[in-house]
Amino acid sequence: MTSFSRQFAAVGAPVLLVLVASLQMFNSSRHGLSPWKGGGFGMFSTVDAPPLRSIRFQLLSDIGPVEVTPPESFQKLVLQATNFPTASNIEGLLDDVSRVDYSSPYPIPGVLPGDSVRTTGVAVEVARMIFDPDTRVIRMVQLRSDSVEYPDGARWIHAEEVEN
Amino acid sequence: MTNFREAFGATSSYIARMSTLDIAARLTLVILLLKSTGVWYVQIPMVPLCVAGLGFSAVYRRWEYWATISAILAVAYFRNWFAIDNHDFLLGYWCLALAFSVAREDPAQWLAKNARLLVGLSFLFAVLWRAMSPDFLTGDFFHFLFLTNTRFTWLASVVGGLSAEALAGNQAAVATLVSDPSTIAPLTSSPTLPILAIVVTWWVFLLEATIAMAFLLPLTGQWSKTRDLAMLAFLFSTYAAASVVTFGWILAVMGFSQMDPRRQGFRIAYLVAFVWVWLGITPWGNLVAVFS
Repeated sequence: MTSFSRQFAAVGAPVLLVLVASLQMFNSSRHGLSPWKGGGFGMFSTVDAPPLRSIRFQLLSDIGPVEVTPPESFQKLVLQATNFPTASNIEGLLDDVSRVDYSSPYPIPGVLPGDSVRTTGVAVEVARMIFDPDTRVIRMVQLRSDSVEYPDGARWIHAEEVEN
Repeated sequence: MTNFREAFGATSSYIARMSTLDIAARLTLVILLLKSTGVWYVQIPMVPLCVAGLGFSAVYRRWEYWATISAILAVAYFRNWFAIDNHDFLLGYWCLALAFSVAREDPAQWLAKNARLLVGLSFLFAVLWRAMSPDFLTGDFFHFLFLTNTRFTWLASVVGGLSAEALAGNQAAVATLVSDPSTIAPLTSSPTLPILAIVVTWWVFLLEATIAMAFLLPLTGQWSKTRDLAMLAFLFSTYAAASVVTFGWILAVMGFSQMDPRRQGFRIAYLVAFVWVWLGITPWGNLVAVFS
């Protein structure tokens, strides 16, 4: 090992910290990465924390958007898209979610139990919370949204009674 | 009282005989054992590795040992980088620094150098984020935090004068808004909380900026005490209010590793801070409520 590489190796960890934190700042300012995540030490600096972000999935239907929850197996992809909602992460998630079969009876608000609804695609929306200190009101603002039409045409979903 | 003094004296002299590397490595292994990420492919190898290191000092004096731990953490972090916390990153860098340092002839010196740089840089980035954030220096972030975050409930209620019902209502409003983003929700505050938020905001900002500068500047002699004083002030003030145990522990270990080992008072203070951070998980607000 040369003297230079020995010296560099000895401060390799701090150098790695700077590289990762700089990349995190870039991704946060350009691609919506939560400042709390990604190794940039932006935690406790802003309200935009991951638990205060929301991700919504909606089936596009003849009666308007129908909210759905993707299966548990999508948890990691959902978390990634919520914390780091790049166009590619959202598109990848939409692609996977659009393959999910929602045809089994599902509680659909506003639709009578047993009735069916025609759906044509799926949409996703990621939002973050903001706090207005003057009015002390919290609300969500959209970070990114996208939708995809089903490649195989329309699909039918069936309403079951909403449990109270 | 005499027994207590004797016990304290014996403990102090025992700690004084131990090298910085011995204490720093063992405390790091405690953190890894208790707080490294919960995924199975980390936990399965990490437990025997940590037990071996805690049992045999020869183990943690080898760079291959720390390189193995760093590699295991790196795999987990790489797969979940968008979800893990900043203290996980810092723990990973610290293990890497231990690997590099024990490979040298003078590990304590390189460990101190790495600790100073890692603390200084992480605080520098934290200060940059706070300065750039639209809602930090205004005090709005801490105001929001006091109104809604369960970690700060006791501060909001005991110091801020916010009722338990108002706090519960605020927390429910946040949960409702996240599940239904199309609505808006008003939060309940108190006249004291915005003032408390401003005080805490500037205390945190100035203290963190001081730590960043003190750890990155080449301070020597008496000036180098600034690092320890600022870091200890941070540890004892922050972790009395916020229960972020892993971050506090890593900072206590890195602070301990970089200081002049001849300063026995600071040495003990860092170890007390390590315990203090652990005590931070105590629900003080609930205890105050029970006893009042």
